[in-house]
Parts: sequence; structure tokens; C-alpha cells
Amino acid sequence: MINQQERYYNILKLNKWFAISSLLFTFVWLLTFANDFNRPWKKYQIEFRKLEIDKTRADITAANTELEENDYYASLKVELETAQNDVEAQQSEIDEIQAKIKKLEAEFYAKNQIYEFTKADMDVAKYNFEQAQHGHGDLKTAKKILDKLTSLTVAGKIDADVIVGKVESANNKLKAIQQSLKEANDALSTLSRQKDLLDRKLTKIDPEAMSFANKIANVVRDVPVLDFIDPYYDVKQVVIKDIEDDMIFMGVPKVDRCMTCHLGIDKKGFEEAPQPYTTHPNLDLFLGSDSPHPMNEYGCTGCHAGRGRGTNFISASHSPDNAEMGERWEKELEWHPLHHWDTPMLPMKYVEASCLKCHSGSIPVQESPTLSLGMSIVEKGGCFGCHQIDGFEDAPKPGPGLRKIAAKTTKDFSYKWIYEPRIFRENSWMPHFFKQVNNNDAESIKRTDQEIHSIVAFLFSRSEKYSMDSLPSKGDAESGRILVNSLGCLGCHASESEDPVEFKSVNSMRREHGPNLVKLGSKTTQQWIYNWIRDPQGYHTATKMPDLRLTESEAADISAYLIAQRDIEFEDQSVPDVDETVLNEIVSDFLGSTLRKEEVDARLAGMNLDEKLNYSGGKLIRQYGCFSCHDIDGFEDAKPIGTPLTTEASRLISKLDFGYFHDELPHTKWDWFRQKVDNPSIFDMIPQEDHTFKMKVKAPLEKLRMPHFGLDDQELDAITTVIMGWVKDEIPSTKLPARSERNMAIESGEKLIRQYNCQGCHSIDGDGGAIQPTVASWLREIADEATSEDRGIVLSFAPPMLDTEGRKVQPDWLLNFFKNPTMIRPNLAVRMPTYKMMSDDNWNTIIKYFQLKDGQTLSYENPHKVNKGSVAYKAGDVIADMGGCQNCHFYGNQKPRQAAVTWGPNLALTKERLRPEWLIEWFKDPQEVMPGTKMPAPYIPIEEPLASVKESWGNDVAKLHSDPEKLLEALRDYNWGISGPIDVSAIVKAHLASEGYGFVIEEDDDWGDDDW
Amino acid sequence: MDGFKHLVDTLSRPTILVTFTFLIFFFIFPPSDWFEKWHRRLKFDGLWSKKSLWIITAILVGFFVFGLGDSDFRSIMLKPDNVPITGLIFLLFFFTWIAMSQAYKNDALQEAGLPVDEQYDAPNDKVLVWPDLVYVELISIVLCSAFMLIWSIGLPAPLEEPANPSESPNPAKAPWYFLGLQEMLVYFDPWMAGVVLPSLIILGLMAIPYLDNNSEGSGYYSYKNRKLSISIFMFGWLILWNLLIVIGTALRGPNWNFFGPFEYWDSHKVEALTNVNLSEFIYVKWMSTGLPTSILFREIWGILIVLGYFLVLPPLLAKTKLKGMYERLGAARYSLFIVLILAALTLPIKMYLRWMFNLKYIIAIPEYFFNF
Repeated sequence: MINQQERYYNILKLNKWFAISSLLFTFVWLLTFANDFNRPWKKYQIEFRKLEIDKTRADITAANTELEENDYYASLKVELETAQNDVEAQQSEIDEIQAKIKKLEAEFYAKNQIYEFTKADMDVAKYNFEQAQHGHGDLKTAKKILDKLTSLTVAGKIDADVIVGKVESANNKLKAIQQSLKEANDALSTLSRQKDLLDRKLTKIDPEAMSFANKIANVVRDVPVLDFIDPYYDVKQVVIKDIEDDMIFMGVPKVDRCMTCHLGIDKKGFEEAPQPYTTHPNLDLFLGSDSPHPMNEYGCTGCHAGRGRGTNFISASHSPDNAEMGERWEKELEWHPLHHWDTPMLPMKYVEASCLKCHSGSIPVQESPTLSLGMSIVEKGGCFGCHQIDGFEDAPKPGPGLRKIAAKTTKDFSYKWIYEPRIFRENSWMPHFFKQVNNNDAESIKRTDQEIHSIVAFLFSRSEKYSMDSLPSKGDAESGRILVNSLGCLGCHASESEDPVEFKSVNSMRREHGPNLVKLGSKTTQQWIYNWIRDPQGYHTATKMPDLRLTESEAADISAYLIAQRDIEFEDQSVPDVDETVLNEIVSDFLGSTLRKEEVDARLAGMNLDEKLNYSGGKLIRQYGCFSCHDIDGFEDAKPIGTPLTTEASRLISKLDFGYFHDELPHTKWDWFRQKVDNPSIFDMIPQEDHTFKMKVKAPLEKLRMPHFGLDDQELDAITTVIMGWVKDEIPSTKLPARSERNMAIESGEKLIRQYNCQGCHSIDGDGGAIQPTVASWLREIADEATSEDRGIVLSFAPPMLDTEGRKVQPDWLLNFFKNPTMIRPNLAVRMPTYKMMSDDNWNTIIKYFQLKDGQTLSYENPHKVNKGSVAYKAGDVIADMGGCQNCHFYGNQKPRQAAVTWGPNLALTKERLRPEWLIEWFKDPQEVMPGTKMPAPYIPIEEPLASVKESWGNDVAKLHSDPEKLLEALRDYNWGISGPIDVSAIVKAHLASEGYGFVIEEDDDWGDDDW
Repeated sequence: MDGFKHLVDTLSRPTILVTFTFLIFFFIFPPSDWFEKWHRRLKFDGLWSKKSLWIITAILVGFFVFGLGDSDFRSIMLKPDNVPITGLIFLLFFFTWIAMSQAYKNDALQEAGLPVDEQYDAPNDKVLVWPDLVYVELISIVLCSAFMLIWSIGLPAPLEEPANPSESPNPAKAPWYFLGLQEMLVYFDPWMAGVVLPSLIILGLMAIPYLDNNSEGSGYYSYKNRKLSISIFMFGWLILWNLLIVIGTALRGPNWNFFGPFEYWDSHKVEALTNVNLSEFIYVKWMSTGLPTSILFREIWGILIVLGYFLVLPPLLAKTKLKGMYERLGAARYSLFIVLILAALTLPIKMYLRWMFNLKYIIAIPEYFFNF
């Protein structure tokens, strides 16, 4: 007993305190475990387990029903029963055999052991004998022992084998009795394999289907604390070693735990399940083990971004698609943005941005319509002119050259155009620099009025001489209109009367390759248009406008048509006078950036009005970056004026200046980019309560300069998607599309094809052919409604599909054709232009593109030779004749039998144009090669009896009758032999002039039907 | 409400806040009889009564509860790293109160000729290790562990983005216990604020037992017997150390600008940087000539002032104001003491010079990385 007197504290009181604190600690300790056990993802896994059990059960029921409805399965079941009965009848015999086998096996065990041991002794004797031969030991004894043991071993082996033989024959007997039973069982289990797998799966996930022991284990494995061993509910993850998350000082392999909650993401059958259990909408392209992006190799956040290690809704950094979704999340899921994560998940509407990380070489990217549209906008809008963007180094300037502007238009027009381009042409890609939110006050407008005077004065004072041919005639506007609508102009240009495109796409953008052809009368002269369309490069050397080989009268007609439309209201607008006071201010501002005040005054005093205009004009062109899109004298080497964008989306969000829009704009990169493109100068402003703006304190030259492009919501989404794709993520080469010769060649080909807008006219592998709707409207005009709705006819009058071009034509023919396009389909009004500005290098790239894309690797091939005396050739002649090739095709200068609407290429062209292998492919199934073509598959008599073939097709065909391939080769060889003049344009012209196309189509005509 | 918040924001401006605490401090912790007279007259001695403990705690709690209704206040104070500072404010007050109330109690006991409390508690100056000490420690350990567990569950560690040299946090703050030092960096050259002054603090703390030859009040709480010592120590501890920590935590925002507790931390707030050195005051502003090219000539005034401060002031004081102290301590102790005190006083002096005259450095020789 301790003497309480010596105590400083009361021991009983301390005991109480100790008890209380221990209890408290125990409670807190339990709380720690509870906190550790209670993870937000568990409830999702529990819920999904239920879903999966329900689904498996439903699948099993379905499988059962299917089996029950299967007659074969029922018959197998009967068979099984019979077999079972049979076996049961022989049960006593089976028992007997089994007993015998058991006994024999025991016997074998003993005999075999004797054999094994003797053999071991023999091995020792063998060693001793060898040793004795080497001089260690007695050779004679050793030999004796070895011989004896060898014979014993052999005898032992024979003894054992005898028993093995007996067992085997007993087993065979047993098998024979049970044979039919086993067969029936095997057949049944083959049929019910799927169901058995499902059953097995169910026993793993469904406690009700588990054995008693497993039921207990199922509970124990998820008990708190014990659940560290092998829990059912656990964090699921994929680790992708070669894709790294950038932790600034080091890369850390990507770890994605998204599937901890998104449990059905890679499993088929949960398409209709609610989030987070839904199956990925495109398993064939993503996540599936056979897809190009399997989950184990690519994970989730590589494309979707977000925080892959997060295991709850907030820490995974989910991002809502729009404000309403965000509000709903806040209410239902207590969501808030994960402030400290630099790469939040991309909203679904921008998710295609990630495709650009790896597929930037191949634009348009397949299955990424938004991204591809965005890239088209970048090209059309000329973003790369002001902003340095990798991959656009050699992209042509998107605006027209201004070196000879005085010949094209007037100062007056230029002034009004620069002020507000979309007033004149509502969908122009020329952006608005003026009357923007940051320069729309009276003071700024006064300045703007003079700035544009300066710019125009600069451009016109430098304008070079452009000598123009005079017009041969006034031209006929109506025939000009038909020409514009039929020659192919509309592959790149839109014309007057078209409705605006509602849903933009890469294809709709192709028809904005050139400016739309409206109100030209208010802009330029007929003479200029005449000269321009006759020789575009004569006016602007870098233009992409090709030469349509127009005759003088065609050009005159077209120019007469184009010049007819005017905008009187626009023409009547007046241009403000030059105000030298304001002009002085502008000049002083520029001079003052490098000179002192007195020097500025001295310089200014020494300038006359023209000099001031010119000086400030040049400075303003540099200030606004006009040279980024236009070729302007004196700005050949000017540097881009905007911020580089190659890795823009990897910039930290703190480097994006939200200015006074911190509360107005969601704090995300994409919302900032979208706002910036939508209304670039808004960040110069201070928003007010009444939704107006006040200007920040900024001098004129300090204002934001990016112009306004007037994009709609769809375009803004697209361009934001592209910007979000400009990241600096390092992608390992294993994850990138292979840099094979084929892929590289295809990429460079695609680039040229995009630059020259080939797909404005041609469709390649299902993409392109933007011109087709205009062909239909032209047909409506020259024929009738029905004709214009017949896809076959529209296609036959549209520029050709180039789907198998690489396999189809001979490369040297193709080069010749590019250099000097000639008639192929005689009835075609559309004209393949001449691209004089394209080099042989360019053409080779394009030819290579077609060849490699279509699996054609050889540049040089043996010419195909034909023996006109051969059976094949003669058979081909018959097939061609019976097939009526001549109905539609020219044979040299021999006209087809039918009307011009059905005409196909001159067959005399075949030999030098087509590749023999392709022709067979074509004959087999023209629809496969060119969907929608009017060419029928030639009829070959393979299903007719030999006798009738002999009678009606002749001996030559009959000889080849058994092999359809041979018959088609025969037809090809015959085609190879067709000779005659290749150029039939004169005949065609005369025919069309006298008889027209002959659009009336017979009722019983079933063109396009394969088995015609 | 907004009026009150605005008032608090205004009072939190460093000039007002620091001046106010400087002024009031010596009346709360009187260093001399004169101050003590006023201390009693102003009823500050009532601070250490039980009633005051409750009232002041209630006021503090009330202020924080009220403040948490404000989003700006909430975002600063509820930041997981700042929560301990709130705790620090309460604890600091509580422990100061305990020590001071005990000291006042003892003072009263001594005045009445009775033994002090500590004498009564452990008359032989002895307590058993087991069980008294160890048992209490065990209970404390258990309670502290429980508290830490609850804290870590309730307020998870504040994870931020990966560290990025091109994107340092704004404001970039030292750990809370160094915020006082970081605040000094505003007024001193880094080597002064980061090296010399911290070393002096440590040296000063080490020197205290040797400087303090007053045997009274040793081993028990008391105030009366060691007014000056406690007052000076409390000034250093509460004002120069803890107040600066609280300022650094709650009132220093982006770009190290000052913000009131109810103000939005706007990282774009602009403050004019117009600080000048003493040499510029003398040559440029007053004499309207350029700065002399010779460093010595340029900085001679500052050097004279600093030398005067550290070399002339101590003997002068020893002869006049601090004559009694000089005699009590002797020359060696006095010199050490006075240099430490003067060094400590450079902080408030420089703070005022900065606030009132935008004075950057008294001696500025960037050529040799020497600024004072």
C-alpha cells in the first residue's frame, strides 16, 4: 500500500482519468478502422455485384430457354437417357471389371516396384563394371553381377508390362460399355458450354449459389481488418508502365483506378445500366482486348484525363459537360472541382481532344468528327498564321495575296470590307478586328476610321501592276451559271442561293475552301474575274485555285454570271474622310514606342499626309498581323504575332488570365479557351452588374488584338477540342501509330489532299465528295427531280470515287493524267482541273499515298500481255458481247449503243490506264469497289449446264466454264485487246450537242442490280 | 455587419495593429513602477482574473464564429495548415493567463507574508516519479494520441498539385513556426533576417540565465519581483515572434501583400514599390545631387548611424537612463544585454522606418551583398 500522503495527485482520480482516456482512445481506434473500412467506392461495387448477379441469372435463364428450344439438345438428352439405361443394365459387369482393374493395379504396383529397384541395382552394377574396366576392382565379378542384374531387370519389366496390358484391355472393355454415354455427354456439354460458364460464374459472385463453406468465406473475406487478405470488394486498377503522369521532377507510371467504380466499362451487356456501371459506348475501338486501345495498355485517363488514382467521384476530378450538369452533381453527389489537379477530366464534348495527342499526323482523324472539324477550322481560320503551331510550318496562308490588290478592287471596297467583312459576306473567314467590345466606344471608332484608311493606303500604294487580257465578249450570264454549277467550281466554293449549312462537318468545310461566290459585282470587275479564272497563278502565285482549262468564251460567260450579283446597300455606305489630327495621334503612338517626344514631333512635322498614311498603315498591318493570312509586300519574313499554341493546353491554368471574369467563367482551361475564341477582346473588359462592360485602362496599342471570327457553338466546341488536344504529353513510341513507310506516306499524301481540297470533289474511303449535292441540283435543273434523286445517276455525274485508286490505275498513267487531265467518263460535265502549281514531287506523294493506302507496294510492274489468238481472248470477246459492254462503253471511236446518260469510259483506255488485277476485282463486284456505281457485274455462265453453255456461248467459254476466275480473266484480256483512238471528246461533244444526255430511263431497266 | 468587417480590416492594417499592440503592451506587462501604476489605474490587472479568462475566451470564440460566416475569412482560417494557428491563438492566451494569474496570486500571497502556492504544493521541492509523474504522462499520451487521430480523420492532409518550380504557390509561405522569420525578410536583407537575427535569438535565449542575476522569483510564478525581465521576454515572445506568425498566417496574402481577415485575396492587387535607401534620401532627395561613386562616401551616413546605435548608445544609456541597471549587472553583462536588446529593437524600428518613410536599407552595399 502506497502512502497517500506522499502523493502529489489523488490516485483514485488519476485512475478515473486513465479509464476515461483509455475508453476514449479505444473508441477513436475503432473509429480509425471504421474510417478505413468505409470507402466510397464500396457501395458501387456492392450495387454492381447485384447487377451482375441479376444479369448472370437472366443470361442463364435465357441460355436454358435456348437449350430447351433446341431440338438437337432434346434429342441428345433422350440419347443420354437411353445410354444411361444401357449402362445401368450392365452394372454388374462394370462392377466386376472395376474390381478386376483395382486388383490388377495393386499387382502392378508391386511388380513395378521390383522392376524399379532391380533397375537401380543394375545401374550401380553398371557403374562398378565401368570402374573395373578402368582398373578399379575385379572385372570378372563385376561383369557377372551386371549380367545377372541386367537379365533380372529385363524380366521385371516384362512382368510389369504384362499387367499393364491386362489393365488396358479391362479399361477398353469398360470404355466400350460406356462409349455411347460419354458421346452423349460430350455433345451435351459442347452445347451447354456457355451456360456452364455462366453457372460457374454465378457460383463465384452469388452467395445463394455458393456452397456452405464458400458462403462463410464470402462473408469473412470482407470483414473489416481481415479484408486486407483477399477481399471481394477492392480497389481495381491498371498500371501502364510506359505512359507516365508528369510529376514535374519525374514521370510516374499511369495508374488508373476508374474501373473500381466503372465496373461494367469493359463488359458487354451493361449498355443500359446506369452510371457508373455503363459499358463503354465503343468497345470495338476502346478498352476491348481486340480493340486498338485495350484497357490494359492504354488505361482511361490517357484519353479522358482526370486523376486516375482517385477512387471517389471528386478525387477522380470528374468534369461536368455544362453548368446544369455541374449543379446537379453538386446537389446529388456533393461534387466540386478538384482545385489542385492540373489535368481535370475532359467534358465529353471535348474528349476527342485526346485523339490529337497520338494521331496529329493523320487529319481528319477517323471517328473524331468534332476534332476533325476543329482542325479544318484551324486551317480555314488561319490560327497558325498568328500562333506558331507545330505541324503547320508549311501550311499555305489562308487569305488571298494582296500584292496586286489595286487591279482587283477599289480602295472604297477594301475600306468597308476590312471594317466589317461579315456585313458583306456573312460566312467569311476574314475575322473582325474592329467594332469589338474593346474598341467600340466613340473614341476608339474615331481612331478605327483612320487606322483602316492607313491600312488601305499602304496596300494600294504598294500594289504591283497586273496586266489583264481584255474580255473577248460580254459573255452570257445564264450559260455562265450552268458552267459554274456543272464544271466543279462548287467543290470548293459555295454559290449564291444555297442555304447555310446547319450541321458543320469536315465535309461541309470543304465547300468553304474558296470564298463563296456572292456579290462579286460590288467587289471587282468582270475583266478581273475573267483573267483570274483563266490563270489564277498569274494574279497570285501561291493561290491554290487550279486551272479549269476554260475557253475564252467559257471564262467570259462565267465572269458575266459572277459579276451580275451586287450589294447596293453595301456599295452605298460612305467612307469617312481622312482626319489628320487622329492620324497624327496614330503615327505618334507608333513613333513614340522608340523615339523621344521631340524626335516624334520632328518626324511628324516632316511627313506629308501620304507618308503618314503609309507609315502608320505598315505599322498597323504588323500590329494586327494582317500578313499572317495575306501575302503582303514587305512582310515576307515577319514573325507570328500571337502566343505559340503547340502545347497550349498543357499550360497551367494559372497562366491563363481570367482578368475580371473569374466569377463569370467556370475556372477551367476549356471554358477559357472557348471564351477567348468566342470573343477574344472580352478579357480587356470589366463586367458590370447589368451585363454591360467597362474597359480596363489601356492605351490603344496595349489592347488585345485577336480578332473575332463569329463562330457558332458547334464550331467553338470543335476548336476548343483542338486546343485542348495541343498538349506536351510525352507519348512512348509503343503507343503511337507505327512510323512505318506506309503510314508516313499516307500522312504526307493526306496533307496534300487536304491542302488542295481533293475531297471537295472526290470521295475517298467514304469521306469527301462534298460536291455531290450540287451535282444533284444541277441534274434537277437539266433533267428532272427523279434523276436528281437517283444516287446512281448523281454518282455517275459526280467526280469519281477514289476508293481503290492505288490498285486500280497504273502509276505512270496517273501521273500523266494529273499533268494533263483527259476525258475518262465521256458524259461527265465536271472537269478535273490542272494543278500547274503542283510539283512532280507533290504528285509522287499523292500517287504513293493511293498505292500504299490500297496495299500496292510496287512502283514498277510488268506490262500485262495478251495473246489475241488464245482461247481466253476469244472467250472474253463472247462474254463482252453477251454482256453488252458496248451498250455503255466506247470501243475506241465507236459510240456506245445507249443514250449518253449511261455512258462509261472508253475501253480503249483500259490497257494503258488500269491494272489487270484490279479489273478482276472490279468485275467480281463493282458495288464493293465503288458503292453506288451503275456498272453491273458482267454475267458469266457458271451456273448453266455445260451443254447449254456450249450451245449458246460457244466452245471457248465452255472450256473455261468450270472456273469463274478464268472467265473474268478472259473478259479482262479481251478488254486489254480493245484498241482505237483514246480521245473521243469531239464525238462526245457533237453527240451531246445534238442528242443531249437522254435522261429518259426505261421502266424495266434495273441498272445497278448485280445479277443482271 | 459589413461595417464591422471593414473596421476589423482597417484595424488589421499592420501600421495600426502593430502600433496599437506596441502602445498597449507595456501597460499590460509593465516593465517599471510607472507603467505598473498605470497598469492598475487602467484595470489591466483584472485581465488575469477568472472572469476575464471566460470573457476573453468568449470574445475570441465569438469572433471566430462570426468570422467563419464570411467566405474570405473562412477560406483563410479553415485552410488545414492554418487551423493550428487558430489553436495557437487560444492556447497562447490560455497559458499566458495561467502563468500570469498564478504569478499575481503568488505576488499577493507574498505581500501578505504567506508562502507561495508552489511551496504549499510540494514543500520539499520533491514529487515522486512513479506514479505521480509517469502516470500523468501516460494519461496525457493517450489523450494526445486520441486527439491526433480524431484530427487526422476529421481534417485530412491538404494535398496540393505536384511541386513545380515554374509555378510556385502565391503566397509562398514558410511553415507556420517560421512565419515570424519570414515576416522579418520584408524589412531586412535575407542574411540579416535569415542568419544573423535568428542566431542572435538563440544566443540571447542561451544568455538569459547568465544575464539574469536576480534570485528572487526563482522556482515559482511571480511578476512583481521581475517586472523588467518578464516584460522584455514577453515583448520578444508575444509581439516579435507570435504576433508576426499570426500576421504572416492570416494577413499576408498573394505577393505578400497585406489583406484584412475579411478581404478577398486578390492576386492582382497592385502595390507601388517605391522604397529607397538612406543614401538616396540624403543625396538625391535632400541634397539634390547624384549618388557618390565611392561606396564608402555613399554609405558613410548609414554606417555612422548604425555604429552610433550599437556603440554610442549603450554607454550613453549606462550613464543616464539605465544607470541603475548598469551598476547591478556590471560592464560585461550590461554590454551583452544592451546589444541583444538593441538588436531586437532594430525590427520594430525598421518596420516603422519602412512604413513611414519607405526606407529600404540604412546601409546598402549590394556590391558586396551587404545591406542593413
